[in-house]
Amino acid sequence: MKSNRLAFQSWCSRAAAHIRFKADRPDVEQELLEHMEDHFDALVQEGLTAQEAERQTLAAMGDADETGAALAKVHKPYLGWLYVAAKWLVALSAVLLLMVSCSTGMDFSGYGFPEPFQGLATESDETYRREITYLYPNCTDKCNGYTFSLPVVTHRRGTWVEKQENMPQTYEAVYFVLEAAHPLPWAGSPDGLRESIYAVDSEGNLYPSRCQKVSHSDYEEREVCGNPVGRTLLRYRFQMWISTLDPDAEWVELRYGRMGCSFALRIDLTEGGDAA
Amino acid sequence: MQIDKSLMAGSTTLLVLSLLSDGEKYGYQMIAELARRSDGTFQLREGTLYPILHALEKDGRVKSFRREAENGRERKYYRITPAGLELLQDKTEEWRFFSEKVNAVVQGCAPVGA
Repeated sequence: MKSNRLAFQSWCSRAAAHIRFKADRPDVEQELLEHMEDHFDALVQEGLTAQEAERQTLAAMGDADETGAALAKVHKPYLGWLYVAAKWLVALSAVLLLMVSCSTGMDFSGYGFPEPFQGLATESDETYRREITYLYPNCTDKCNGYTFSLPVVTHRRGTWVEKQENMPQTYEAVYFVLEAAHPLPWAGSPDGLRESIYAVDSEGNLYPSRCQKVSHSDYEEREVCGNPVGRTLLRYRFQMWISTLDPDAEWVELRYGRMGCSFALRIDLTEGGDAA
Repeated sequence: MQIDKSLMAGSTTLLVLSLLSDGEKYGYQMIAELARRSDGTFQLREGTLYPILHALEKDGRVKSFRREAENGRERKYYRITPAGLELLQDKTEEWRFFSEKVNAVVQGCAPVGA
């Protein structure tokens, strides 16, 4: 049988209103209301009228203010806020822990390097051959508290035959992930990395940053380009490439210099890597 | 016979923990069980049960959780914890000691030949 919830609700609200930590009130109100409903139902089952059952239920509960004052002593606001703060702290620690663990065990398999030979030849060209070599330069350099490294480097070579002139063509590029690690999570991304990075090779060729160049023409130009591909707590990563690599180059060195900070990372192109 | 309220007040923790010692219960169930076991002598003002339960929970003597009751409705149940069982043991010993001494005094004062 449905009780007169209004009278019960009013009793419960009055008692709960004594609790200063408001977040605790709804649960307490609900528990008290459930108790009154149970008592009411038991009395109705004994054969009492709804009106009499309601009166007896309210009488059995006692004084709402007295109950409320006793509840307020248990549900103290500072304990409530302490509990809320502790919960947030635990959640925050879990997120930080997750971020730190992600930053130590990075998985590079998901990097999708764009096709470097797009526009020059396609895979539908039957003379087209593509060769990808994974290199492990194992070099690091430091500046301004950052440690720069190259966790993934691929040397790509595409060959095809120009149909009109029946001339063999070659195109080479180096694709890599540049990582900047800093021990302080709030250090931010290194200043102007994409604008100030450039490369030189063993043949004396210069590969300027795309941002340094006056014209952005096409793949026949030597250049270094790239984009940030995300960060973890302590590491920033950039997916970058060196276009139109001189086929005679034995090594290519990435260089960066800005506001007294510089680094150099050399990639040996002759070392035997894993072919893919 | 009606019991003096102050006598009840001193033993409510013992009564509540005793009610929970044989299984988890929700609030009204405890009140009904208390009335049944005491033949209706112990009639706690029902609102006062909850500050006691909440204080016991804050001290880790009981633990609450919600689950469906036998009437199909969801209710907040209380279960006694190992710390609660320890407190029950202490309170029981305290009660035995106290009632023994009260009995000794009361009987000692009884009129000769009563």
